[in-house]
Amino acid sequence: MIKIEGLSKAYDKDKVLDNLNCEVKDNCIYGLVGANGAGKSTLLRLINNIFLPDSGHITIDGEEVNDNEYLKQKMVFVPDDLFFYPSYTLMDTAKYYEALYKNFDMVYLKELADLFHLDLNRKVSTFSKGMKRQCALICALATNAKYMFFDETFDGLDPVVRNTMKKVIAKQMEEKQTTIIMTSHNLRELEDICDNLGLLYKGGILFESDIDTLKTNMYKVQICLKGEYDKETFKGIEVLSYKKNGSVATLIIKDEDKTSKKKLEKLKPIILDYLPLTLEEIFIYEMEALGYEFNKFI
Amino acid sequence: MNLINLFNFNYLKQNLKKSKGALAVFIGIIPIINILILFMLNDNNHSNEVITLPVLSIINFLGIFILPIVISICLFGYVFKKRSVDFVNSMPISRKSIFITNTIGGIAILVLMNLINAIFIYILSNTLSNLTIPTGMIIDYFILWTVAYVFVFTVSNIAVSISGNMITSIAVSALILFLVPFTHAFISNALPLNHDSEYIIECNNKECVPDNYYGVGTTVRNLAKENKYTMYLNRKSSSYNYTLPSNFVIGFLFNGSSYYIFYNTTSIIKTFILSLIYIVIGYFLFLKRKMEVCETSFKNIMVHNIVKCLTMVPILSFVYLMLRESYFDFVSLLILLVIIVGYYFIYDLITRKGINYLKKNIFTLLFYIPLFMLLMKGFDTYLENNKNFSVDDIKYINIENVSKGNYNSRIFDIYFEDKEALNYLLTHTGYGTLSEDEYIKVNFRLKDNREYSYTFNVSPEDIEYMINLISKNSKVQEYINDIDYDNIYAVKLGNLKVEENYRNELIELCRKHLPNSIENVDNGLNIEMYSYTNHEVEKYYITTDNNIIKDKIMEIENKTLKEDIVNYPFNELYLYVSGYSIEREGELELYNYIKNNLDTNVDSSKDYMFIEVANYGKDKFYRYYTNDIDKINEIIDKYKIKEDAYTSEEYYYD
Repeated sequence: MIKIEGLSKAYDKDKVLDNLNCEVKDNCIYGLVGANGAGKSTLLRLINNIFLPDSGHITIDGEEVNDNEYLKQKMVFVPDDLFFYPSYTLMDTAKYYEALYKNFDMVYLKELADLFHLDLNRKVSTFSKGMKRQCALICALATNAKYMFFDETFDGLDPVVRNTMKKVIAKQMEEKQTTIIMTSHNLRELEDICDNLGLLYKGGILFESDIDTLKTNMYKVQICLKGEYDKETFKGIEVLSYKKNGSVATLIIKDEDKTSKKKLEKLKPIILDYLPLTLEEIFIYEMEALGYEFNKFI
Repeated sequence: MNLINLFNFNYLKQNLKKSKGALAVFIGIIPIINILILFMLNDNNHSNEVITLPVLSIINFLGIFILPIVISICLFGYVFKKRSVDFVNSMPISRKSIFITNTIGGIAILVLMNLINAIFIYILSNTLSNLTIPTGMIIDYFILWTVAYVFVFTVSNIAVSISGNMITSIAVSALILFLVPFTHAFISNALPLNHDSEYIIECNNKECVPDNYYGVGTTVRNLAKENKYTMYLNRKSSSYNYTLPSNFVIGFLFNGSSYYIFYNTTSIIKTFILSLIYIVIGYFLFLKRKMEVCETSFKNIMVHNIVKCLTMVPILSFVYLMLRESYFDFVSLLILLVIIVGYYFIYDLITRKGINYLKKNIFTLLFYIPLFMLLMKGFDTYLENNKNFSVDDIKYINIENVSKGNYNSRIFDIYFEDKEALNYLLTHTGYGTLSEDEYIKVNFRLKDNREYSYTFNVSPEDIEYMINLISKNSKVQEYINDIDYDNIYAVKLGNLKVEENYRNELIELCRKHLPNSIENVDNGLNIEMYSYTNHEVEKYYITTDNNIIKDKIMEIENKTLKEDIVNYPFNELYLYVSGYSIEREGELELYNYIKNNLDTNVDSSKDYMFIEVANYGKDKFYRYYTNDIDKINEIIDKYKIKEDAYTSEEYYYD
């Protein structure tokens, strides 16, 4: 488990993280979202001990990460801005990882390279931006590290590769009990892969929750009743949002005890449709419920 | 802290692999150039050079300021780029391990390179016929340069740990290496180095003021009444005990004596200890380094300005000297101000990629320059006011040169204490225009190690008296007699280096027959012997009239010429008998005489002459001795160019 307590970091006078507290449970994919400059990359660099915090503690499996070589064997980081040694091929880069990671799996790397059609003996500098991202990700996956940190994970990947990569990452998490933290400024990128989401704002985690709970508790309902009706008609149901267009109303409801359908059916609706919510919609309504305007964060 | 646990060989291997090309070039270039230099020194045309530690080290003077910094940047340079910082620091290796691994790895590379270099020198010394390098010198070479290279490497590691880009890292390295030694050397050597500056020497009694001293102006006469003696002395540079790289540079900048104390044990120990201290400092700085501070000079503008101002110290120091020489005239002041502002501008442009900082900091600059100049002026005034000394302050004297006589040159090397000789010198010397034939050049070394030279006007009789007086000094006698025959590795006759087989014969003869005295020798022949003793090349320049040694010298010179002359066609040589101008046909006849004359033995107790032979480049001079005076005179008479009215009798010895 990753535990962050009272973490603060400033660049000169610019405070990026301010007394941040957070916990990431094992064997999950944690999505970290936030606007540009919210501190996502800084947080990952602090966890990976690239930068030193001004204050606070980061522990993984109960151990402080501070210059902890043993712990670093269990961690791998793929930054947003990738680095490869200029004359290195993908194989050279893989060998670099292999030399430093005790559990590096070269066979698995070759499998992944084959899957993504990456030539192992080609210089990485000649690859496209997306291919470089694939190289970095497959090298990281082949380390078999318990904790993986991917910054702007799918940046530059085309939709096909993006889906394949998501599958590979999800498989890694399932089969090898890996914990993955990935960041993005785009919620849609993370919704179909993450188990948990955290929203970073003004140096702290503003909101976090597991996606399944979010998705199973909130619904978008389209309803049409005979005669005149308004928001008051739906008393007894937790309505987060109400919009009526002609005779059809669209409701966003929170339904933790799963009784809403029965309650609505009692109103004998002409139309009653339960529609799935996108993660972005869920966040918008949750934030609005907390009194924030979501567009400011993402 | 367990160093073995912190050393990660896999990381080092990978770290070296990524810059193997650059490293191979830089590591290989020193031994390769050194080998080429050794082959050049072995080459017949350059073989006159006696190998000394500085000669052996030529390429290292440059290499020491490039190679360790290149290695340091290859190993630690990742800290200058955000992307590589992310990559390397996210790897499963701690900062402690990175620093220790890179430091040990870098030192190992430098040691290995110096070891390879030393082994090559040893092999070539034992393989090449003209190259004799004492093993002691090779060991000293290895120790000296390994310590020096490692020191620069540790300094560079500190600089890398605190700076944000390569340029500032190099600037910080230069500051750590040179700022303190340079400032000290500048204040203690360059500032007071006023040539022919008037110094007042206070005498402890009336006797040390020369007899004819009252003949000069009123001021001097008045000074003499106070037992004060004004002299125009040349202040000499003191010897240095800085760290090794500073010794090399400061010796070069201020023309110091570091060349002569090249293997300076104090400096080596100091450099070694400082290297260890710098490793520890670098370690902690690296652990605490803010990795986000990269791709810029320093985050803190104040630190940036301090570093920039410190890098200006040498420039401003020399500017001060130039201004002093120009008596602070306005035009010089303006030009130098432009140079300084230009430097300030370029520094910002390179390190911060902008010139806005110049505008912001122009007031710092305008405040800093006058303050620095005032400080220098203050030091200058202080040194000017405190430059005079008393005769009692003179601890050692050294006779550097005399106008007449052929004395054992060892006497000109030694610094000795001798109050009687000092007083004699001060009371029996003239105070007027120097005569080319009547002078004695003396160095005074004071108790505080300041050193001054003065050329006294003395009669030849007084020179002889002085030398005799000095020769009675027990320390001088001990020094004169102390010829380290066992470690002589080079012998020169004129500019001709004696080959190994003849060298040992000559050394043995000298050991047996050379008188250990300082007496003036007329009609003698000169031998230069070089030993490597106590980490230094000792030069023994001896003039001898001992016939056994002279016979051997003549035999060696004759044999060497006869061996070498086959390599030279006549049209590549000049031949002459000193004092005569002869036609080219005469030279040809002398050439054939040397080639055809089978007898290389000469009896120095009989009359003899010598023919001088030089090649076109004149880097080789030979002498061919012969007792066959009639034959030589016959050739000279036949081909003599008429306008030369020399008499042959003057140019041969009997």
